[in-house]
Amino acid sequence: MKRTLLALLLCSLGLTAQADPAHVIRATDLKAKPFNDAATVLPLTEKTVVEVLAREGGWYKVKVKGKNGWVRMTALRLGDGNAKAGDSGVGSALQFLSTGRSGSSGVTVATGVRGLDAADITNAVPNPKAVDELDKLAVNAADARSHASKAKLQPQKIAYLKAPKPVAENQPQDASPFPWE
Amino acid sequence: MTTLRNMLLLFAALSCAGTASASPLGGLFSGKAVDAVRILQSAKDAFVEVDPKQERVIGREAAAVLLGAVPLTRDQALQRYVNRVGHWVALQSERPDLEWRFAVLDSMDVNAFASPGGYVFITKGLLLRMGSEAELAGVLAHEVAHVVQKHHLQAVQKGAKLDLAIGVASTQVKGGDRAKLDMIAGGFKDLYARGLDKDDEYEADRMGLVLATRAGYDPYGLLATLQTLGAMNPKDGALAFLFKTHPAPGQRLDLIDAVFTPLEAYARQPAVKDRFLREVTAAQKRGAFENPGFTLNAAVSPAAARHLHPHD
Repeated sequence: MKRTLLALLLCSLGLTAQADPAHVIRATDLKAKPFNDAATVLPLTEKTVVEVLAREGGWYKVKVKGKNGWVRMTALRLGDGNAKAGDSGVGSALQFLSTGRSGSSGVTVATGVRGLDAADITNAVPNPKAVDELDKLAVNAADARSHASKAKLQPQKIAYLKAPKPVAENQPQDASPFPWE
Repeated sequence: MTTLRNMLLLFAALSCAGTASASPLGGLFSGKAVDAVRILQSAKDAFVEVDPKQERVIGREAAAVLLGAVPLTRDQALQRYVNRVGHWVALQSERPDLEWRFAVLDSMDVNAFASPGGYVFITKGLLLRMGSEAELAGVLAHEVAHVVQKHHLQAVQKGAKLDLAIGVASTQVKGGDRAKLDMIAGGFKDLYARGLDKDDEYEADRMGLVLATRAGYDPYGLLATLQTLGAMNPKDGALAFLFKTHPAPGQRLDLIDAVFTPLEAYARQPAVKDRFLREVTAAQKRGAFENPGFTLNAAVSPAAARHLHPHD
């Protein structure tokens, strides 16, 4: 039974995981390689839907209109831009997994997730013992440095970014934070 | 809650009085009339200038509130891994010497929290939606930025400010540290339930990006996580609290896009995908996530799914 479920699950992943939809949020170019100065394969207009295959640095590898190429991550938003409530945009596989519905068979693999809410916080009885436990799980700076160097992480000196000019304030009040709804 | 906030601010004012004998609050104890505006000013100063030891005591109460609402994930190795990543990121900040404490919370809700003094929490629900250490570092860095900027301390103070005049007139505080700490806990319950100001969140995004990049990670980690959250169904119960207390992911991405250019030069830094997936997979095999209902971020990160099931 477990194996069947796993197989079902993997099958579903296989079908959807390779083709996450995304939509272009501002006109951009499909590039042959993940560089700004790479050859342009196709110009892409706003709202074009593409399939995301992979990410490398600030670039998504995508398939669009039968062509493969690279698009700047900042020019895309995951999801097709048209998902209705109940869809999970990119997460068709994720949604399958989190709701436990496998479509045709209706097999349930897990129960739904109830989120945290404000009442959980306001009704909380503070747990100082759990805070004490954190001391046992902590690491010192030397440990953290050695862990970083194992992954070849090189520290850099970089200035903080300045706040952008307040463009956001000028947007229409009724704009939905979830434009695909 | 309003009363709690009043009391909290009064405590702040009292601490101030305790350390500065010339404080106008001296009047409060000798029964003289007190100028509420002057108290307000003193209380504000008291919280902004709270010393590191007091900050730690306050933060410990705030962390106790969160851990009273959500337990820790029972997996030492995973907790230690998250501490190694987080502490390394925090070492790149202006407060490297805090006693940084990072922890995974045992909730499928998607969220992360910080408390003053160096406490940072991430839910397993958020951790499991990530595909690389750079994403984890990006989110932890955002929380580290809240601590470095003392956003929560200042917000608690600000939230209490409006009600101060009433509070001073009607509230009597009995002695004892426990009573004071309970007031602090109350103030933080209120704050965590309503969230920080949007501008604090945007600032933590900008600083977090830089901190993770300073730590040598692929600078796009936080963006990748926000992309994932933005593509999830906003009606998902696991997102409700995050979306109530934070600006929408698309909005955050837009503001990041507007300032991101200087970090593009670091795009070739490693995302450290393999180690992240190895650690999370190992924890999952130990049962740390207790059947969370889905496998590792397969929809967004096909590599994660392959890594988890290399032989299937």
